[in-house]
Amino acid sequence: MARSIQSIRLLGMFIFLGFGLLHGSESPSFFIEHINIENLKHVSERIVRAELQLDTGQEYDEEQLRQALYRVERLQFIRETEFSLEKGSRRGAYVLKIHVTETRRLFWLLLTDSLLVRNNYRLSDEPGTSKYLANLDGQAFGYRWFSRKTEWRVFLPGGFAMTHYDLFGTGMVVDAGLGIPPSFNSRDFDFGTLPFTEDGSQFEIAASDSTLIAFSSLTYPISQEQSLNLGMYSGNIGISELQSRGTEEKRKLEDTEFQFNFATLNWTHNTTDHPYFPLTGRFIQAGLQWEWNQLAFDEATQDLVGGYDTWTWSRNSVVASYKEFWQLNSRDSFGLDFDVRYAGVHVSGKPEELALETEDYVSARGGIELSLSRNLMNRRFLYGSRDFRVTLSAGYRRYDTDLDEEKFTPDPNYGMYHAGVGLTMRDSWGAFRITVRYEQSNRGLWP
Amino acid sequence: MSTWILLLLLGWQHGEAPSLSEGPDRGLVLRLPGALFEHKDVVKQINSGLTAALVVTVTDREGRIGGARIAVRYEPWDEVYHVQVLDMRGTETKRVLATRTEMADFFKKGVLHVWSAKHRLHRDQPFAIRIKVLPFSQREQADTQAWLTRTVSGQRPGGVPTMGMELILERSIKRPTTTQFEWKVGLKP
Repeated sequence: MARSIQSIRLLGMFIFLGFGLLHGSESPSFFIEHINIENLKHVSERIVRAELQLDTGQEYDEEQLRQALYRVERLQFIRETEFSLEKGSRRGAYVLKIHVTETRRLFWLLLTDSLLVRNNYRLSDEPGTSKYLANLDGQAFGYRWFSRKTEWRVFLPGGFAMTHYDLFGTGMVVDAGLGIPPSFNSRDFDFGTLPFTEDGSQFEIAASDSTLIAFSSLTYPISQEQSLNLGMYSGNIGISELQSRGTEEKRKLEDTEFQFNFATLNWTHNTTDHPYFPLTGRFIQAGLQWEWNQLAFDEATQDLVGGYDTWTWSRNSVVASYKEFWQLNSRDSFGLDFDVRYAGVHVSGKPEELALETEDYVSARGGIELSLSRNLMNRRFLYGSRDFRVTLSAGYRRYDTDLDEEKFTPDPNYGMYHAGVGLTMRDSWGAFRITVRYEQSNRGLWP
Repeated sequence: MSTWILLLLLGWQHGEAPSLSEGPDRGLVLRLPGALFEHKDVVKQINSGLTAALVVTVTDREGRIGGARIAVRYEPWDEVYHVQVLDMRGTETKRVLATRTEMADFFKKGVLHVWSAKHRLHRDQPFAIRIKVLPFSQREQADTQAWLTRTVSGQRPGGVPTMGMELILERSIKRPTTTQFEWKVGLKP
């Protein structure tokens, strides 16, 4: 053991001294005339080039090239990257040769950057219709498992996805999969699309144990930093604790009683160094969201049950998001996250008294979050694409809703503070992240 | 090549082995086998046009350690190797070598002083010799270690990591992440 420790120390000393010495000396720079990327099987060359953030005709030193190498390796579907230099067309010019090894196509997602779930999406017979319509305003449909005694809310969503990196050789990224909720009473789902559109706040759909959710997205990189993404989500939601009017009975909805569809179109400008776990750079996104849902409704009993007429609602939203990340040192990174959404809800079908024009129900949401992330194991350089990181975050979110006062009372306006801790890890199968958050509303403990 | 591990415990028992002999000031001098610089994984790294490193350690039966570090960068336009050596004397040696054959010859000349004179020498016992090949992408390992050293032990860059770094070093260095060779050799008279 002692020998091992000594050996380790000495190796460290030489690596340290040697590199420190090299680091202190003049580092050679290379004029990169051309960049060749090799061994791509499914990944688009455009995507790799976008993450390189290197321009031909520029001079780079070894550290800058190494950082570019790490940026590529941080891609969800890149396992390893090797750089080498060859002669260019004239003396002093070089060709940067990049040999890429891809990860497997199947990867796991475990993302829990949820924003808000109100009332656990519990439909009830409380006076008026405001309550369950108010639920429509939530960013997510959700049901969180928590202990009412401790008032701590801990939840573990899950999902998996199959990805194709380069559809038809066009540089498009395709992401498709099926959500299967856990069988226990914890069911928040959170979907993220592949690199250019990662924004957990916009793709969260919670589900109960009778739910299957199909999701897919298509991302097209229009430049090194910009992309367009179209996302589609569709499924059935079973709702536990559905309570019929005038009864104490609660039951779950069956498969087709509640169907939802969700589509997004986003423009993204992304200069961050990693799509999922950025440490430095800027992420700007603006887009449109359409959501349309259908619910079975028993007109006679005013109950929500299957096999009867249906009514639908839709919500049209404009969203914008801004994120900035600063790398403080080799282990720590600081992040600023700001986003807004403006949405209108439209309801039609039965019951007729619930019919709403879009202007009757308009909501706005904005939030800011600060986060500090630390690499615990310094594995990034040891394993290439590997990373193990802990992130602390805290923020505030404001929800304001402008309702038709004749139809709704009261206005569900409130703010919410939140704090959380997350762990992230990447390996050859892809990325993995789990976050535990606590949220507190100034409107009440749990709005 | 696997990201995880390319651990080559070849030993080269049937081939050329490094030789260890007493040098000046009661230290030890290591001569590397020429075949090392023809091994395909070594050639791949040192021919990349970017800086790769060979970290050499020598360990006696009591666990006392010496070693050296060799940094190599091939310059495609001049078709030469820029070689930089740091050894246990704390000296830095720089050479520009035209071929790998020249490089092999250079390291056969006894330029690696791998043992501190302050260590008692057991001449009749074998030494374990290990060479790790660190590719260009591993450079940040050292940078981070430097940062960690400054942060954790309060030392300046260029200082030797302290015992307080053991755990960090164990995590970062002990993992066999690159090409590695090992031999056991006796001291040549």
